[in-house]
Amino acid sequence: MVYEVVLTTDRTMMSNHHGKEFLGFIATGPAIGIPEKLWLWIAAPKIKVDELGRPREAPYGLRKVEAKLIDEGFKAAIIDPDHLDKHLDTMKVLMIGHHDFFAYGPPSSEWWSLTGKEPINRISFKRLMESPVVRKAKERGVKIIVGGPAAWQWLWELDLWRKWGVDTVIEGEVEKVIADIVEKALNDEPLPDYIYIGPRDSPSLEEIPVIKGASVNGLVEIMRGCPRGCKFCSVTLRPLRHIPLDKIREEIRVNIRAGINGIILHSEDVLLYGADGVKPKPEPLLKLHEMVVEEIGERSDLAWAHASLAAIKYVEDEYKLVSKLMDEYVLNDYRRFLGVEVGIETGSPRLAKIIMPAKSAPYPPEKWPDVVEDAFRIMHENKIIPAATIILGLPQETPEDVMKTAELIDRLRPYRSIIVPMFFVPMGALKKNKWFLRDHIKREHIDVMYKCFEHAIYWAEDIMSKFYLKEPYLFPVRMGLRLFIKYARRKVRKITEQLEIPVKT
Amino acid sequence: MVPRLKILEEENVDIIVGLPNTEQVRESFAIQLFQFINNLAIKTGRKRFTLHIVSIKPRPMYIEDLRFLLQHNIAYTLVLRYYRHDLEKINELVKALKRESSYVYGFVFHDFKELSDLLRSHGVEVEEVEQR
Repeated sequence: MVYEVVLTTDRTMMSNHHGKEFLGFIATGPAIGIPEKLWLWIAAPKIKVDELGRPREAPYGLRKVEAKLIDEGFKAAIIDPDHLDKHLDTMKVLMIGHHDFFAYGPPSSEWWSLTGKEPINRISFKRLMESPVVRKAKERGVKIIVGGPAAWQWLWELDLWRKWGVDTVIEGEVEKVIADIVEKALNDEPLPDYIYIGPRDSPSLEEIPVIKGASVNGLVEIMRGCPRGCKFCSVTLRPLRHIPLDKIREEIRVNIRAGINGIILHSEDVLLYGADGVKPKPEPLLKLHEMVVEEIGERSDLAWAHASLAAIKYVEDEYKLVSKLMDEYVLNDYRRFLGVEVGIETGSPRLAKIIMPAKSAPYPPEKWPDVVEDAFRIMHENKIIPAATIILGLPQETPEDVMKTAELIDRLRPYRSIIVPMFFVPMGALKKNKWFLRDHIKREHIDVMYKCFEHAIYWAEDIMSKFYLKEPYLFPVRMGLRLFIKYARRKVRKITEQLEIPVKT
Repeated sequence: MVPRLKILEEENVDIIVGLPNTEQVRESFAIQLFQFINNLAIKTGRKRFTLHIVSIKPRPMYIEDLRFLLQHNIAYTLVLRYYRHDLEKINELVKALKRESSYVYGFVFHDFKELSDLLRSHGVEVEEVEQR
């Protein structure tokens, strides 16, 4: 098969992370205490490919673009980065997607700032762009188009943009327009340097294609957009669309046929599927889970990409729906937990009111810490394991706000979870100084970060041995992580001391 | 013919942007351009903007001058096309734009007189901006 349009990304993205999505986060950090190769293997092992180098699983965003191009009649395919050379003679357009090209996103930038070492995802991406095959492609006149949720990062890497000969950077949802852009690239017509696709040009439900090949760990989109309007999040700007059940079913089947042993339902807030505004409705959620479980059977994994804490509390308090979904559809002898990412962001009602006034809705922002704790309790009781984020250093943050966050983390100690601190990164500062955290961090930030670390260590063994990495084939990964945790305990203390020096001075 | 993307450059507003003739980055220029775009969106009712960039800086280094706009814009579709500092080429572009597009404007840094004059000679409305 001859492919004129090749889609790819670097190894940290083109991996199924041993079938455990959360391990992918390890690729956002630098190799700490162990060799880079081993670190990369734990975070992002190579993926199975066919004789043409097409991966068995690929990032969902690339799958959507591939599907659109195939539907429009282009000879396009996603190719593993190690197999690009097989298509060098036919390739005319190289499309590269990523969710964190240069490690400026969370949590990469925190790792980078804290350790002073470049994260693996950045190293890996630079390696891809400087690889002989990509350089040769460029010499032969192949057009390079980059995009994805991290497209904005190119605005801060103009030297590399120029050095690598990137023709166009695209930001936004591309389904409606990508065929035209690729056609112009193939016809050697002038391409714009930069394209931002505004919300009005986002695709309608009908224009969003069904993926043709499996996505990483069976990720399937059920919604786009989010109605909560948090100030730090760009998803909220997009129109809210609920993907119809039939389309979701088709994508699940694509994954199952490819042998993927699990599905991740993707949305910014899974419990808002089929909802009006911010109040979840039981019926669409029950139908969705009934259909998903019917398709995947009892032995496959099921996870939610994201859910809001307010929605978790609301559906349980009003309808006992979390318990019902878990008892009737999710949990069984093979599926013993459900993983989800949730956003705490702050423990301060004052700050919550400013930066995310609707995140607690339908509850008032004043009740935010209680909403968080109630939701954590509900998840703990129902064997839902959240990976939660908090954001430090937000504009308008006061020491009192940070102390309230610290208090909330203490309240969450009894509930099985991982809490990841993220630092609001002012780009100018990050570009100027790789140790920028040392200039911006305060005593209370260190306290919160340390509390998060202690919380993670407290629950890590329980999660790893009882829930997350219990499969025998993951024994080496489990051992590697245990060793890392031991090492991290020692190292974190040292890093904390290093951070405290400039704080004191 | 002006190169055009389907959808993204249809029913749009074309703005010829003359960037400051200096190596120094002026954020205020991008802020003023952002305000200009907001005003045009209200005036024309259009939400798609193509910025035809005239700059002494090479591609894509000129983007540094526009970063504020690109980072803060959320509402409008933006397309950036680069024309170097080639007034002959700009002359051809403006002629074609005047034929093909209903809304053509100039947004030019005050020290780039040549460009302002050229645009005005084609009947293009030009906003000249001073350094703040």
